[in-house]
Formats: sequence, C-alpha cells, structure tokens
Amino acid sequence: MKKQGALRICVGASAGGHMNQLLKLLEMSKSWPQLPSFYVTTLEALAEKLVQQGPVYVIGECNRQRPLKALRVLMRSFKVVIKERPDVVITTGSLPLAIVCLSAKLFGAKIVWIDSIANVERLSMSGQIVRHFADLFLTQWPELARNCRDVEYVGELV
Amino acid sequence: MIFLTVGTYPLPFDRLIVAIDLAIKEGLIEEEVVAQTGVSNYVPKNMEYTNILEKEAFDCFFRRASGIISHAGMGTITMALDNKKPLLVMPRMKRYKEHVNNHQVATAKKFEELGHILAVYDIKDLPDGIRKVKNFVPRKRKASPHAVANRIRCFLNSLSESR
Repeated sequence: MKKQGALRICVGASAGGHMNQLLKLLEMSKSWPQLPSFYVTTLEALAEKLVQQGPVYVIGECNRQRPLKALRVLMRSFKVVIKERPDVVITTGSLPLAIVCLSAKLFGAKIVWIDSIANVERLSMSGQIVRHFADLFLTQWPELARNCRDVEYVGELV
Repeated sequence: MIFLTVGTYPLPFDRLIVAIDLAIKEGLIEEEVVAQTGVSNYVPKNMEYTNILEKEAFDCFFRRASGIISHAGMGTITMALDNKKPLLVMPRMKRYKEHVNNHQVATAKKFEELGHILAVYDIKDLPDGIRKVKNFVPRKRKASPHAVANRIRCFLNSLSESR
C-alpha cells in the first residue's frame, strides 16, 4: 500500500563522535526533500543541542556487554518507532541506533547507515549487523567499500 | 589549560585519568588540567573534573584549552581538528575492558599517520607524548560531508518518487 504525503525522516546517533558526524551531515542536509521529523540520541546532555530542530528521543546507552541495558534500549526504540512511524532512519551508529534501525525496519522503514569514520580497518560490529538489512550502507573509508557490492564510499563526514 | 576527556562511552578509562593525575603530581604537567571523566571510577586528586559536561561547558573548555589529551574517540578527534587544537590520544583497549574491541588503536594509528594527531599506545610513552603535544601543529583535514549528504538526498528522492 502506498503512503501519501511527506517522508517521515528519523535521524539519530549515539553521543560522542557518532553525533559529531551526524551534525556534520545535517549541516549539509538543506537539499533533502524533507527536514527530519524527529531525532534519536543516547544521552540527555546531547538532547539539548538537537531540540531546536525537532522532537528528540533519548533511548539510553548500551553495548554488547550489557544485555539488560540493550533490552531497555530495545523497548524504548519500539516505543519511539510505534509512536513516530518513520519512513526512513538515517544514522551514524552505534549499537543503540542499530537497535532503532532493527525496530524501524520491522515496521517497514528504510535504513540508511553511515558507518562511523572511527572504523578504519573493518566495518563496525553494529554496522556488520545492520548491513544485512540496510537499504543504503555507506563507509567513510574507500578501502572498506572495495569488493563489497552493498557498501558504498562517497566521501567522509569529518 | 589542558582539557582531558575520555568521551561519553559507557565504560571507564581509568588508566589514562590515573596517569594524567600522576603526571600533574610529579610536575610533568604544570598547566591547569580540567577533565571530563565519563563513567571512570578513579577520583582525580590533582585536577578539576566532571563526569559528563553539558555540551556548552564542554565546548567552552575545549576552546579555552591550549592542548587536548583524550581517548581515541572520533568526537574528540573531530573537534580538535575543527578547533585546530594539538591533540594527544591514548586508545581505549579491550584487554583492560575499556572498550568492546580495539578499534580505537586503528583509529589512532590512521589519524596519527595522516598527521592529524599524536598518539601513545602505552602508559610508559605518555610523558614523551605530553612533551611533544605542546609544539604539535595538526595537519588540516579535508572532508566531504556534502558528497555524503548528496548521496542520501538521491536516496530520499528515489524513496519519495516510489511512493
């Protein structure tokens, strides 16, 4: 079934370097067909920076050594996705945002993953998971796109 | 003033904070040091510190600092390059449970190789790094965020058209 109206764009990133890279991207996003509808990040301290631009959801931090926290992030992600129903998620990572991608994908959203520039030698662990269901997967190192049909390099954010 | 940050990553990085605290005590660093210690456990005795600074305060310390010492996180590396600050990093390591893998080592090596930062990989090399960073001039980095944004614009346009 075709949906009517503007795309609902979700953009998100974990606190720290992931967010820096996302902000660099957003500075260049004026030419996109729509502005993002809402934002997702992992720390309250970061939300303030984004709040002028639209609603911000804080889903908390987690890593793979903290399965309980990851479960909490998953619950929060589902809540956000069910409430906002994004058509597309654009993110620079990391694991908490991979969880958002997975939740959104289950509800039919398209996924744009930009692997963090911190991953120099190989794609991030989260990226390697998201790669299986991402609709556009970008790396910021040309070497990592070589010999991979589903990984693109077009430039770097920072 | 030197600004020390171990980022916001949800694992401690006591190794670096302890070493810097000691370096101040031993007179290796004479300047004032301000730190963002994240979720680290060690309580610094010789410097002012906050666990997680508000963005504004973080930016302010960053701009005021004559040099930055940090983990090899991209947030700090990017900010140092944007603000033309000399940066010395020590990567977080999996072995010490500072990160889930050793990707910070690869990041540090790559950006060091490109002349953007200085890096040490072992505590014993830290004093040397501290001495060198004072006179370090980072090489300017050319990024292309417009190219990434354009690729995503094309993708979004194709989504809009297919609706």
